[in-house]
Amino acid sequence: MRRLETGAGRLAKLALAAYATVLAAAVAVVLLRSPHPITPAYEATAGCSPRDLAHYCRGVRARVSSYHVFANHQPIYAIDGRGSRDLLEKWVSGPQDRAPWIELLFPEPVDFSSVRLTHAGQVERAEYTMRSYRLSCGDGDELRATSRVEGNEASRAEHALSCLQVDRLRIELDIEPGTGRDVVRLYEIEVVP
Amino acid sequence: MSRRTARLLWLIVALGLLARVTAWWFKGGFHYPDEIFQQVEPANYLRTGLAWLPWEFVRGVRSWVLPGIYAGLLEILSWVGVTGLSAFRLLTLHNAVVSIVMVPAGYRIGVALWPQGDPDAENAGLSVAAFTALLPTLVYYTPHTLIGTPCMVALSWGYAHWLEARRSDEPDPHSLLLCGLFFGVAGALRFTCGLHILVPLADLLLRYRSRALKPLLAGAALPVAIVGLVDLLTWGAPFHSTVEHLRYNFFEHGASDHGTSPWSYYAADSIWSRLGPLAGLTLLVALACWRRTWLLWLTLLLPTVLLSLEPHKEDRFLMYNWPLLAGTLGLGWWMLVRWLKGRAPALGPIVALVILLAMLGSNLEGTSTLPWTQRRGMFQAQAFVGKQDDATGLLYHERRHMNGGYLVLEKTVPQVQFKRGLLANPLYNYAALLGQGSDAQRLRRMGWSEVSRFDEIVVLRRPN
Repeated sequence: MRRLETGAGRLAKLALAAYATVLAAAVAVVLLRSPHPITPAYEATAGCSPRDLAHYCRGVRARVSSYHVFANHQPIYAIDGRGSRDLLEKWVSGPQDRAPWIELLFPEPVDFSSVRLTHAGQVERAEYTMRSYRLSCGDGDELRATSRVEGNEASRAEHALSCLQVDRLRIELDIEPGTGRDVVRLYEIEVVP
Repeated sequence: MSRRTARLLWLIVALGLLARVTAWWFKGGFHYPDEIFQQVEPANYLRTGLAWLPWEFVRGVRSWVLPGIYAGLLEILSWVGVTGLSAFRLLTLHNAVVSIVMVPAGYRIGVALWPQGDPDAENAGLSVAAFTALLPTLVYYTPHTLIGTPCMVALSWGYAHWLEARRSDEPDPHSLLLCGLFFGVAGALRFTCGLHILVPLADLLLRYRSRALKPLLAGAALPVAIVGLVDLLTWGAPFHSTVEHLRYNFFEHGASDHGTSPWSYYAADSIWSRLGPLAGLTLLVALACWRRTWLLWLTLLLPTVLLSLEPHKEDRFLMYNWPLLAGTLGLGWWMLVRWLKGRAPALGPIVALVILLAMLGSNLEGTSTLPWTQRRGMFQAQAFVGKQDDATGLLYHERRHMNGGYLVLEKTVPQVQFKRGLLANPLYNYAALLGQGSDAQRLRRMGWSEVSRFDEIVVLRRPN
């Protein structure tokens, strides 16, 4: 009987050790990963949004470094083609995100000439409008064009960026801790053909 | 342990497992929103970056330790393709199955409380193990991701080592170390669990004076240090979440914002009503062996009285009472078996068995009034919408913490509480509302079509 008890005890210890090892490995995988939420891939609708190539109805996806999970400011709000005045309907980066970015992934290569951004200053306080950021486009890892914006004051800003046959647009924004620009607040991104 | 006892204990473990899986099978939704938004939704955030997190994670009232563990478990499930609502269901099954380790702890509690050397000690242990395996309210709390569930498991092993330690005149460092470890785990995960270890600690310190302190502290050091370190890394200060939890609940009386109950709530509702129509008989049996179980009674009564003084009360705050009640019932019932056997050797055990089944049935009746399937329909509706290829946004019934969160939706789209003003945005193309509610009626009149139904929740789709 004692042997049975010892056997059961040994088995329990082995099981516990195996469980703890696998769990620890899984936790490590989670902690080492840097997840970037991405909007779903919708089937492109024919004739949808000819003046704005960024609309989700064209099958465009928005991937972000983070979004504001406490207030649910989802990235899809930035590509829903609405000049909304609802304070919820904007993409806001996470409060802990020191280097926020948003990337639009086109379902097939596109040509465009400029990018229009609706900053929070359009609807909320002027100081929420982002002042400096970098726009770039590319095909996969290949960078095709880039444009640096400094000292922006326009709440609805249009920036020339000539891109041919690219599958992505990336916007990296510079936050300014301790100011109204401590997170990114972006109502809309439009990509103009 | 004799061969017969070992076999019976395995049988009780199997029955306990069956009871837990059955409870899990009939359970849906949540017992309380905290098990989603304080545990598995933050875990989903760690793993995917997708979540809605409540204010507690802004202020730092919660530790990231348990969400981190749940994130690991969700990750493992994702390796075999299980995500979303199915993953949440399996997490709750995991907790229910793991809680089976309380049964051998119950056995050791029963043996430790029975006089040493008495031939009936193993039977007393089996009796406590049986109640720990089958007591319906205890079983109810096992398939949940509440913070209290792992605390309850840790506490029961802490009690076993405490009662084993106090049997000897000289302090047993091994038992005291393990006692400190398990109490440390419970207290570190949820500070208010500390109320349920006040009596054991006072007892050990009175009994062994400072000689008990060193092994107890050494045992508690690891879990406490882990929580302190994780708080330091995530909130910037060790034990930040504990301090903020105390500050919010006890100094700012923030818990009262979530409702208040009369002082008698715990005695009348959480214990008496929960024990069911035979509550009187059950308590009599539980008290039958009070000379041996008085420490268990003190351990459960002190927090019950202290928490009764707090205006905000919830059943789950006293879930740790149930392993203690299992201990008192186990020994009380075994006393009854012996007494009945002495009076009527043939009929006595049968009467005792009938009483046991009656008490368990009565407790099951009392437990049936707990929220077994609260928001189950909403969870299923969210999971359904998350699987629709064209879903770009969801409007749901009730406040944003009354559902399964993004863990269940599994889609990077907005899901927000239904408001008429939001209907102007075509992004919200699905709604999960009360089937009979006025909001659903309104949408039907606007041409939204019913695409599915889960319990009381109807899923509507915006017309193209």
